[in-house]
Amino acid sequence: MSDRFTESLSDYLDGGLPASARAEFESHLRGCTECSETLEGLRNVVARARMLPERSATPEIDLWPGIEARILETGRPIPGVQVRRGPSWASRRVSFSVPQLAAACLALAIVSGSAVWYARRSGLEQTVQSGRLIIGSTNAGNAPSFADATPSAEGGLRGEASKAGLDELRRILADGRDKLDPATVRTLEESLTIIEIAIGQARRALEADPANPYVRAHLNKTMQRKVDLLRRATMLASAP
Amino acid sequence: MLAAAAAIAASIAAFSLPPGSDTTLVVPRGLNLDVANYSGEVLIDAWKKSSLRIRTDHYEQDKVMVSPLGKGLLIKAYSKHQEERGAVIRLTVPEWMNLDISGIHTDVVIAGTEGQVRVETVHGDVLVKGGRRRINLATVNEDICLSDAIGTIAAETVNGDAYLWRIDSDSVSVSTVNGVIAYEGTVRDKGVYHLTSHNGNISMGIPDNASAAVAISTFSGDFESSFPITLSEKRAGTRFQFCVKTCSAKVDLESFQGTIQIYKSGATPNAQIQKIDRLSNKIYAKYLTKPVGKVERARSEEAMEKSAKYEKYRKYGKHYDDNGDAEDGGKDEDEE
Repeated sequence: MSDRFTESLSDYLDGGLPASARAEFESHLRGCTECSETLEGLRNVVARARMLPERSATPEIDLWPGIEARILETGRPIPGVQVRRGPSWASRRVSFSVPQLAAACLALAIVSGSAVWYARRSGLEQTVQSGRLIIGSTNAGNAPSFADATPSAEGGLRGEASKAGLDELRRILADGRDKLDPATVRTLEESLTIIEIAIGQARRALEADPANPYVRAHLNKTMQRKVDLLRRATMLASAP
Repeated sequence: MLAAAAAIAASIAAFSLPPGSDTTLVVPRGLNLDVANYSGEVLIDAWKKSSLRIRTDHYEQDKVMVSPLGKGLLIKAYSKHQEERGAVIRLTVPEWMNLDISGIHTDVVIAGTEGQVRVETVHGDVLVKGGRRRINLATVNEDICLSDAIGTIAAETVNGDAYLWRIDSDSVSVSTVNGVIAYEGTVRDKGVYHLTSHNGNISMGIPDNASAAVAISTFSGDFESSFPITLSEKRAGTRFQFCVKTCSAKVDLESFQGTIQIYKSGATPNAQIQKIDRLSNKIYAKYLTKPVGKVERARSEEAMEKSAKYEKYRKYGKHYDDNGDAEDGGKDEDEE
């Protein structure tokens, strides 16, 4: 599967490819089993996503604990998840297949969705700019706004929007607290908060413009960033 | 050759290095090097010799071990996991050596390598000049600077900027959530270039000879081009595409709420890149030429100086106007 075509999968699924690129992609699909299977997997994920309720107050499913537990079990591969071995280059990396990652993202989307729902109910809005965070009061439908404020745990910048994610992270880090110093835990929490805020902004943008394929893709990518960060935190907390 | 390297690596008995040590090992071609340092600095330059020079500086209570790992060597600092308990690992490696560096509170500075480079840190800045074939750089809370690299490039940070220049690659993926991205390098036919930020500006130099389909995506950001373009397609939302020449390469520039800027790049880098280049050269010069001294004596002073230096570097990297001057009215380091 070529990187170039992998990059186009999401756009193709969204109907966002130009006609010429779409024809080229379909021609490639006819000869590439791997791309065809990946596309089919993504279609299934999207179909499943459409069947889910728009937003739920409490997560009905959380795949992360299972993923985390299996990552922590050294040497035991997760079904459908590629663990790259061999040279030192990739020895600490775990890579997920696209459908696996999409499934994990879906689970996280539900968690995040409930958190954002809770945050909006309480009228809180968080924005982020150039290394700076602020909580302000804005209308949900507006484009995100910015202001300067240095992020810090002491600054009262933790909104409900990031609570679910932080709880996940804290749970992951709890077992590894002797391996990571407080400053690192704080940095990971702040980074997760930034990602959660970005997810919240993208989600609100999608509500304002549901037909926007870029915003939908961006939301998915940002959720993927969250999965990556949680996975990395798990690795750090479990490193020898 | 790789099998021989692996066999030789495996035959090396692990040994530890005392603080202030300076050791040189002859290494076979193909040997990889892993470095793990929880806190401090990993400073690497390269030479043409097939030997590895290791200089270290760390607290007496801690230790730095050299041991075989797969078909390579591992240099690892064993210390209490605290930021202030850092070690300095200063290496001069063969140009061809593949490098895999990991840390937490770890700044990584690498210059002159012609091997693969992988860096993963959390709090540290990552500055790399060189690298071939596959270059993967990741930090969480700081900036990435990569120049003079050839190969497949992936750079990722969450809360930091990414600057890439003098790059020769047909596959570039750069992402940040909260920071700016600047890229200046080749745009090769059929290459894929993907720069993504949620909250930061993106600037990309398009070479005169480039042939590319350029897709611009933003939600509430802006787009600027220094040259005329004709949109070939506009999609729903603020997403559109245009072709430069025959649409060969694929360039995706996405910023949810930042400004996306493209310009024609030529022999001379743009003003922002020039300043970052000058500043990073100073950092290379300072960190790769300074003597490796006693940690206990120098730690506090060094840390303060370094922090101020990086603060300036970040500050001036982020706030340039079109003339390359600091927008905040503050003085550039060169002007001070």
